Amino acid sequence: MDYPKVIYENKRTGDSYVKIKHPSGLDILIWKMEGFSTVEALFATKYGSVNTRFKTIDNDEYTEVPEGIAHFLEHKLFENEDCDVFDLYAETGASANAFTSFEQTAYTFSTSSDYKKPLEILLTFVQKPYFTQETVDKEQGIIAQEIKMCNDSPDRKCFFNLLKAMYKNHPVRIDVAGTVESISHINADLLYECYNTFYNLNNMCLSIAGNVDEAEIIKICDKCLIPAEDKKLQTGFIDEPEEIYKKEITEQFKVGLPIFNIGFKSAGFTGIERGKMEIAAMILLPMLFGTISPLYKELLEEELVNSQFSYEVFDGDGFFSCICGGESNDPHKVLEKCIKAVENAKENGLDKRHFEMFKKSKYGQMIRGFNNVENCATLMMSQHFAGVDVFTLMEELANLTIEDCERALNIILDTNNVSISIIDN
Amino acid sequence: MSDSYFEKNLGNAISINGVYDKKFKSCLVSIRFITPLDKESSQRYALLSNILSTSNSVINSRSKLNEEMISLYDAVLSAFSYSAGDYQITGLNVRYIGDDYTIDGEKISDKAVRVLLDCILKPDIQNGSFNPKYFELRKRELIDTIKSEINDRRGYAVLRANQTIYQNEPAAIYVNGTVEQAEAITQQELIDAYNQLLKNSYIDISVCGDKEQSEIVDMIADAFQPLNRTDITTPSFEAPSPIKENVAEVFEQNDVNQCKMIMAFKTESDDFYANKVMCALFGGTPFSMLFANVREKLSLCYYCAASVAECKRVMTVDSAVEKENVDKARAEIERQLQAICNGEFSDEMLENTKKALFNGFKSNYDSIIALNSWYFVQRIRGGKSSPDEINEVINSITRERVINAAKSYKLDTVYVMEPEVE
Repeated sequence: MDYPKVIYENKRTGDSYVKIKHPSGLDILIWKMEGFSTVEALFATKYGSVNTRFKTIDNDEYTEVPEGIAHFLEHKLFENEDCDVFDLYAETGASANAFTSFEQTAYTFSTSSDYKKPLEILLTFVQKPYFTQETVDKEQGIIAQEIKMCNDSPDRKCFFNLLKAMYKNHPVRIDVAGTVESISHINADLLYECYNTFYNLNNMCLSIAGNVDEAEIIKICDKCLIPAEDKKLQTGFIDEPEEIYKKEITEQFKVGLPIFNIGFKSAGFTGIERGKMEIAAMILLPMLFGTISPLYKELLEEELVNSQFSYEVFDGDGFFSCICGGESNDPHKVLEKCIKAVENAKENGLDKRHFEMFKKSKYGQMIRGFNNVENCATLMMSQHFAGVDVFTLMEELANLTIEDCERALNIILDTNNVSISIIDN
Repeated sequence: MSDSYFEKNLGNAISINGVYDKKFKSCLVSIRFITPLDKESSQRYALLSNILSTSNSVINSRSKLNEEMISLYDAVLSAFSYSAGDYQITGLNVRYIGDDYTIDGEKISDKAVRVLLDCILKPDIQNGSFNPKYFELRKRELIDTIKSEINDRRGYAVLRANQTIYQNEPAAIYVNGTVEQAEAITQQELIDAYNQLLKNSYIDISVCGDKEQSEIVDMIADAFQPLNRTDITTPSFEAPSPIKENVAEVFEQNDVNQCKMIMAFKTESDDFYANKVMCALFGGTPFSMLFANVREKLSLCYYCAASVAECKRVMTVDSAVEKENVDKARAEIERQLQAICNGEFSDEMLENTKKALFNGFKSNYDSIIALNSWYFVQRIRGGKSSPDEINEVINSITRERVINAAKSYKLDTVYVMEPEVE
């Protein structure tokens, strides 16, 4: 049967993928990659750790749930009423996994053998929850160990402390897994409530890359997908002030050298605007903080950082920040110099030659990414949930001007809205 | 199978090899120097690889070299130095997109490989010293790296455990060395290390990409031809780790919230692929004995996984547990190995384990980096089998061989990193 379909193409690389609207409510994304042995599939919901507050057409008021519940749910879905999902996959040889991020939960498999059976397993188990208080209690032990493992990572501590400093209300400030305390409030009823709200096919997508056959995939979807009524899900956040919450958080934990993260906070963006800002930031950050920037040179020569110094764009629903970090014996001095470098760029403009160089380099990175089946499947999913397609982002990059970057610089790198997080001995 | 593998001996213990497959959009050239692990030289080689990748005599500035790579569509030049059994592999890689994928059909492959060759063969040496600025920079970074090993508690626990597992063996040597050693390295020692590396090491060069790059292969062969090479140690990676008479138990305190436990089992069996299948059955998949029992049934930990160091014939089990559960977890891990010895696993589970291995091997075909590593490991083993060929070997492993493999392992070391007592 023919379902509504959109084809996305990149003429330069010859890559293309399709988006099919399945009558069950699910969006299906397929990237056919000839010659590749592996098939990577993600069955994902637009539901991450930040979604602790929601409402649907069934209720008038927002419901609030404990932190860490999206991640807990991800663990629990692997248990069916009659068997463990890993045992089902085991017969096919496929390697199954799942992850929860701030904004998504995805169940994945990768296989170099026949993908049809694993696909049936994937679509079936995610649509068949089974929770009892007993199994929830058992999982609390495993997840508590996972949280404690994360607490033993100073890098992770440093990152989340930065988010806690930048954000006052936005749930992005809480670790994806929650806390040992918050997960102790999770019970089977709450899991069902979150499952029924977010695991609605209208809020999900299936993303598959590899040497696959579109018609075969649709046939399996027709067989396995249970149509869902669109419940007009709304997720909401308590208002987040534009300003940072705290200037600094420092915590003691045994480390080789003090670790730091510096974050420039700005308001969140949506849809194509978010994509444009991401692209601009991906060019701006290496220009300002990258290995060939005057700042990097200065920091290295003054022995304020080492080659661990790096940067990232960190953004999502209701948040956008530019972060840099590394190891230093004097993180405050690094902060001072970072702010100065940003102010200097605002005052004197950006280096045209470097701008062109980084455009080319970003393009090269994207091309390299198209070599990788897992990357293609993940990219389709994340861009779909963000409301844009993969190749539009490439076009945005091609059309990006230095003026666009200079405009973005003033919006996303506000030197009066900066926090620092430090872990030292 | 769509990949094509080639191997060519350039003489003088230099091998050039590679793999190409038209589905790839990027290329990788890797130059590896193989030397025996040695307390004196290992740290110098580690530092050397980082200095060589910083600048060369043609582009004698770190930022200019980086600029060059960025303008070649973000070609990536990277240094590496790691241990494999009793040997050290030191070298440089360059990755770049294929010439067919540049915006105006610009040819970049020769430029990217030229930078790599210049870094190795035309280093930034003047008056008998490496560029002093970069010498100090990379030395300081090496010291920072050693100090920061502790930040990754799981990895640090493995490093610490290796000291006991491989007691008195070269494999115990940590290639980055100690802070004190690093502080004492001189320019002359590094120059000597560079000359030794070029003169005495075994050299393995790989060229991988979307198509045969004969021009690149010739360019590399020409560049390496004039080297004056003598006293080359041909590596022999197989060096089983002796089994201790009594199990070594080490408890160390650290700033941790949960204990990191590493158990090492050793074997004298050379049935390598049976050992590999047994290890996967024991703790290599999400349906393995360890995952199903230690994690899922007893909820003792988040991870509990087994892996093998094949040339050393050592299998380690890596886990993180609460202090009060250490004994319980250790007993359960030992019990699960005993269960395999008793044949307490179904044929179906064995078949599924083989399928999981098959799937993992086959996925190497889809990544140029993975394929490059795959064939390097094959060369270490003295072969050139493709993933498909190894899958056939795995398929032929019987239940009896798996049981015998399990029986051959003896517990050798238990290392526990535990929270500090106030």
